[in-house]
Amino acid sequence: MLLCSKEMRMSDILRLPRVQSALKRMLLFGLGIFLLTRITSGTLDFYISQRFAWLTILAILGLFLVGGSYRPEAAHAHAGAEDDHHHSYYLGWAGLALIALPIILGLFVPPRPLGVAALDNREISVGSLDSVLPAAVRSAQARQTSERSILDWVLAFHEGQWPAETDTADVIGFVYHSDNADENYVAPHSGAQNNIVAPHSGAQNNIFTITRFVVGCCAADAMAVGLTVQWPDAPELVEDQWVRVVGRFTVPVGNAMPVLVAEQVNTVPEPNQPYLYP
Amino acid sequence: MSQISPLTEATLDKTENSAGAHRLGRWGIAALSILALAAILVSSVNTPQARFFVAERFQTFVTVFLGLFIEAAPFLLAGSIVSGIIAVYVNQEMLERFIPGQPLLAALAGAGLGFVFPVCECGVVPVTRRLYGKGLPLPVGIAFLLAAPVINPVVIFSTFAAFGWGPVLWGRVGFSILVAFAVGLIFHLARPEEVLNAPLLERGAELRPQTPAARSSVLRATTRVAPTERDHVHPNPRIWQALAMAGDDFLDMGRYLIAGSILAAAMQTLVPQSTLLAIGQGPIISVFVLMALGFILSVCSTVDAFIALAFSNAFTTGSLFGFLVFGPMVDVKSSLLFLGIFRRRTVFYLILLPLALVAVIAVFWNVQVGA
Repeated sequence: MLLCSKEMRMSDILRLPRVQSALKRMLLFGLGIFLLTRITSGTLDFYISQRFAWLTILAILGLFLVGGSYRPEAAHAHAGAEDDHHHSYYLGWAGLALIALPIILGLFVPPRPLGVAALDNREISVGSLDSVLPAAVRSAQARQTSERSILDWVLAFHEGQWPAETDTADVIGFVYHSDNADENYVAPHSGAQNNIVAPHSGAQNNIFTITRFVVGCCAADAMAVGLTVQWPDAPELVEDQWVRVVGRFTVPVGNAMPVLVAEQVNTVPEPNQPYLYP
Repeated sequence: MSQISPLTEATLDKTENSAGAHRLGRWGIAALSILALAAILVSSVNTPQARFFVAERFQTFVTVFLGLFIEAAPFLLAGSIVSGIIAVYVNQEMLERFIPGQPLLAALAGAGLGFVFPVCECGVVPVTRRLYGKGLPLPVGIAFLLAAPVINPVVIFSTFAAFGWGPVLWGRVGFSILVAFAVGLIFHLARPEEVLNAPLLERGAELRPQTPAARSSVLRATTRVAPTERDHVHPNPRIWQALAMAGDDFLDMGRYLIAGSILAAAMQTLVPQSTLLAIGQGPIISVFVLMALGFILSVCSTVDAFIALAFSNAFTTGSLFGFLVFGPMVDVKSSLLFLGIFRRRTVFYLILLPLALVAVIAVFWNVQVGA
């Protein structure tokens, strides 16, 4: 009974227009501050494509503006003359908790970009991409081979532009030990290394996949692209570790995709912009 | 034949209103329960590897969830601000003047209303709700709700940027209008109290006097006399009122956006995309696969053309229509947003009808025109 009456009191307090107004203002400012922290910490790119960052800036301004509109005089004006227009929504406990969820998760879960765990239920496009994004293809053709990203190489392969033996690749991505990596590693043929036998398991046969996520809009549409890399110490590389790989591609035989034979593999810190953008 | 405002005939009681509030509350409780369950799952996993696996999955979930929310929030806010402005500056008289009374024309006008209010599938919901509050006829609102996410300059431009002038662009625009028009027309046969949810009907009943004479007096009061009176209270109170209403709408709709984003992120974290993509080659199955993917991904309609491009070589053209026409009309996120306007049964129809119509069009395209 005591608990019940206490709950009633709490619920009554929550229903007070002044309390509702203060809570709504707090939530709107809170969401604005949450978005602002993502921008100032440089972690906004973990969630959305950088080309939409300006929308987030507008949203922050909008949230502050709208939050600031919950003022006593405005509320008075509502009550006096706007009965036909406005019927304020009551925000209950559940609604409060839901709206506060992005703020809570933003506070308690450290911001991190998508990694290997996200690959478990996503397709990884190794050496082929079922997408032809004209702008990206054009940029891939224009770039020097040593400046191409994993996406540029993958798009070039998709276009049928095979690498020359003299082409040097210099790419950054995270390590992924895929059981499917060997499927893309079918009898490559190069001047230096003929007749390499296809291994059966990436992690145990000096093969790993250097991977990046490609984001068009936000993390929800992230698509993984990767290149199969041959490196003697591949099994020792830790999954999710960011590495820089410098090497040359083997010339493919038949439909097999080129394999990047690494000359150098160095661990590097996670880049500020972990995703690639088409 | 003139359209009857969905709200003028509305009658409701307190029980319905409280049931609506309870329904809203249940969504929040359900979402919190899922989170609590996830927390328990994380804490109950014993081996370090399993704990790592679950923690990593949770991290992926959080990143995708916040990605969806951060991407959609500006659009929802823009829609809410448009909604607030409509609330203050647009009245029923204006709508009656510009919206045709004839059902066929009204549904068609609804399908083209996106050019007047260019909003995506997040922003369209608060705008529609506000327009219903202003007496927008039922079929116009339904057609607007379904068509506006595609039939607006921003989305048409992004589709052009992705696919150029061609069947995908024209098909997307044409089929979206067709489906929205057809569903709008179907809802012309329904009564508002069968379709709209209790809180919205209640607001309509409060706002609108029953006799035309009384209604005219209120309209006069709000359009001419009231602004002058309000100006004495504050130098420019109308814009502050519009913004305060925008804040209310944003927070109200935001609950559904967040619940939808939780669902979409959970599905993305748990359901392998390869399962869907592996079966996406046939002329019929590919359509349903991409429709399912569009429903689950819940990507904003302003950018979904670029996502569809990712499937353009592997999937049939008809299935791309499934993704580009059905996805913006209905997805996990927007279905929950619909609950802010409609009864649950109506939301079910609003999913089922576009699904059936788009599926028929897309399969017909694959079989008759060619994949």
